[in-house]
Amino acid sequence: MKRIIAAILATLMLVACFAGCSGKKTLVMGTNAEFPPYEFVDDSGKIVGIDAEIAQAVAEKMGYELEIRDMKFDSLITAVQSGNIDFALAGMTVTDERLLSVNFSNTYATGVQVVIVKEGSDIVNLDALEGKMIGVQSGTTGDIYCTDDYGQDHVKQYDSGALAVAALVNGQVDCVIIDNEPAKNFVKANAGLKILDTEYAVEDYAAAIAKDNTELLDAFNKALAELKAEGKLDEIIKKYIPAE
Amino acid sequence: MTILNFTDWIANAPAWLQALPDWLQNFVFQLYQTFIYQNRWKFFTDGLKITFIVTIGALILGVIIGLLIAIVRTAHDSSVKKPFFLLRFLNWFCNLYLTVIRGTPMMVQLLIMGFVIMAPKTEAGTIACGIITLGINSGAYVAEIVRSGLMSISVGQSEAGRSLGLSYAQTMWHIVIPQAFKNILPALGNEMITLLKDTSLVSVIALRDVTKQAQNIANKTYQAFVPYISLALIYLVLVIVMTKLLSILERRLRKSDH
Amino acid sequence: MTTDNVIIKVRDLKKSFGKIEVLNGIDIDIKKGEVVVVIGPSGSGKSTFLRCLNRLEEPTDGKIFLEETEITDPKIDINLHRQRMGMVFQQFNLFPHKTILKNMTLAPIKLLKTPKAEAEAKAVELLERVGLADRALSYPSQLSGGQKQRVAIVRALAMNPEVMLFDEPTSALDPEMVGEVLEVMKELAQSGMTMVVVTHEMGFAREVADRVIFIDEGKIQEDSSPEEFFGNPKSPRLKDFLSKVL
Repeated sequence: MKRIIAAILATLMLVACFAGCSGKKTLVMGTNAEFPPYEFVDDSGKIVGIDAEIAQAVAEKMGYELEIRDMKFDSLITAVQSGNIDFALAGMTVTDERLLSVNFSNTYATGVQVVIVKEGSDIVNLDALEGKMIGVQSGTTGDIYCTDDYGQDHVKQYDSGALAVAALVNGQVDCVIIDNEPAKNFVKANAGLKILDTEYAVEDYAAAIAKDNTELLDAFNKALAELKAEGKLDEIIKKYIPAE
Repeated sequence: MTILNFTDWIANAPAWLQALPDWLQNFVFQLYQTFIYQNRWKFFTDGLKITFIVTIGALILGVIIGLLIAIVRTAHDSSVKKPFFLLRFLNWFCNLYLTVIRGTPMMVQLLIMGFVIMAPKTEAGTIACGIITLGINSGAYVAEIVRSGLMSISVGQSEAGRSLGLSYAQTMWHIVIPQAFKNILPALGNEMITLLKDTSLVSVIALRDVTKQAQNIANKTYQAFVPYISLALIYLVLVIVMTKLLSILERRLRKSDH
Repeated sequence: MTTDNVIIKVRDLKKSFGKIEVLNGIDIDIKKGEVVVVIGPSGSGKSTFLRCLNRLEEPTDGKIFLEETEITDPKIDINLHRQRMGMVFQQFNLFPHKTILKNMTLAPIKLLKTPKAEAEAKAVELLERVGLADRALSYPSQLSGGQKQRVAIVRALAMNPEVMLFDEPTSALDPEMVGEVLEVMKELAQSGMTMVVVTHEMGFAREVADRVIFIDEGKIQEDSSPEEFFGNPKSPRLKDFLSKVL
């Protein structure tokens, strides 16, 4: 019995050490790692992607260790507000509503919301979306815009883009509205899908930071500007999105 | 979408509201945003509809499946002779079912049913998919509860029934099950409560239950406090009502043991 | 002895639980109206023998006939034949969730298709016979042990059985309640019912039995009239047993 208690104590101490013993201060980033190429889990189980690398570069500039937490996209804004994470970097679009709750850094990339359909679908342009069943990733701008435009009865919310695309392949929805970059990968991975030429919406990506944390916001913007000037930002984006 | 801004809202609010302290103003604002603005209370009622339909459907299905499995397994285990082939096959099948269902997470079962096996195309189909998946899952747990209930009734009871000439099924139905039911009611109640709470998982197959709708409101308002606390209160009230109904039922059934 | 009078015929009955042989070849004929008391040390197989008679225990080997029907034949519907044999248990086994009246009318209504009113009237009449008509609407838990066993007896009688089997009916009773149950059984015997009674009540055996049987080590060791049985036991095992219990 004594030995068991000793083992438990030792384990606890070890865990505590992992959590708090590192010398440098850490910056906690929240993301939803189901959004390639911005963030996704690679073969070794690590969260990688454009956002992960930019965050790493920003953290280094600011002299912090970076810790990435994977959570539902839905929860990111509230996690920023409650201080669970220092910032969210998740291919998140700047919107007026989100600006009421959090601050956004300067834009580091531009996102385009596109429509994925099956080849031969009767959805040939945006007008044809009326009355169709649209699949979205829950809580994304695609979700918010579509629900506003077409109403809840015409929008199915999935936990990830991959599930929404799976539903499209199964014929459970008529199209999926999602960011251009992951959309390209989804179309590549699933035969018989294509992206409509007309974009559904164009938007700016930025990091969400708590309203009261202006100190972090300023430091973040400063680091971002430096990275841009050094050409590091373009380098990271090019690495994941080869120029067409 | 018109965006509701606190500054504009409070400027147009009635005087009594403006007289409140800041934190209370903010709280009322959040309540307003969550429930009243753009009739958002409908999110909750729409979500509750799905939650109720799925819970009740899955409950009925789960009890039927659970009862059948428990009877097969009890009949197999308590048969005096070597059980005939069909019974042995059914028992094998039930064991397989219990192992698979209890050995995999409900979330995984929902993903498989929702995107691989059933892949429903209509809203009604998706609701049915939720009911069937949760019902099949719950059935596995109900089966074990019912089986323990059947085992808790002394052999003498079924022997007395059989000695009168009642068949196995008649003995089960008139003598063993009514007594077992009384014994398992508390455990069955727990399973019902678990099921109600587990329905929040159906959002993975794109159903909007009450949890999902609360998330949708939080996504619209970017406020977590009021939507999620309200959601918790809704579940709490439902569970309290269920517990109360169960204890009334239990008291009724207990009238025979003085 | 005329054979057409025989209601239960047992031939070479064997029963084992796994490797343990409990009944080792039992042969017996029981005539209509006969009261047979079965006595034996605990573990002798006497209860198993009784429970084999209505196949609550499945015999391992041997044959049992109820009048002309072989009830050990796997093809027969045992439920129909169990209706003809009432059974009373040591632990009463009343249905605790049903009133006394419902305990008694369940089987007649379900199996004999007796109309409810008729079944209830008959139940009340039987309850009157054992002095418990006023308890018709009580639940078993409201009755004393002796009252429960009297109800259990009339519950079996409600099916109009041709034979009554008693499995140590007084063993679970407080001593002051044994008398009331034995009294009911005695009246039943006098009414001409065929009875097989496993018991430790030597007084009852002496007074009421037509035949007393001694079972030990899975075999019938002695089968005689009560006078012979108690007055002039032949087998050494019975002598030994009687010297301990009397």
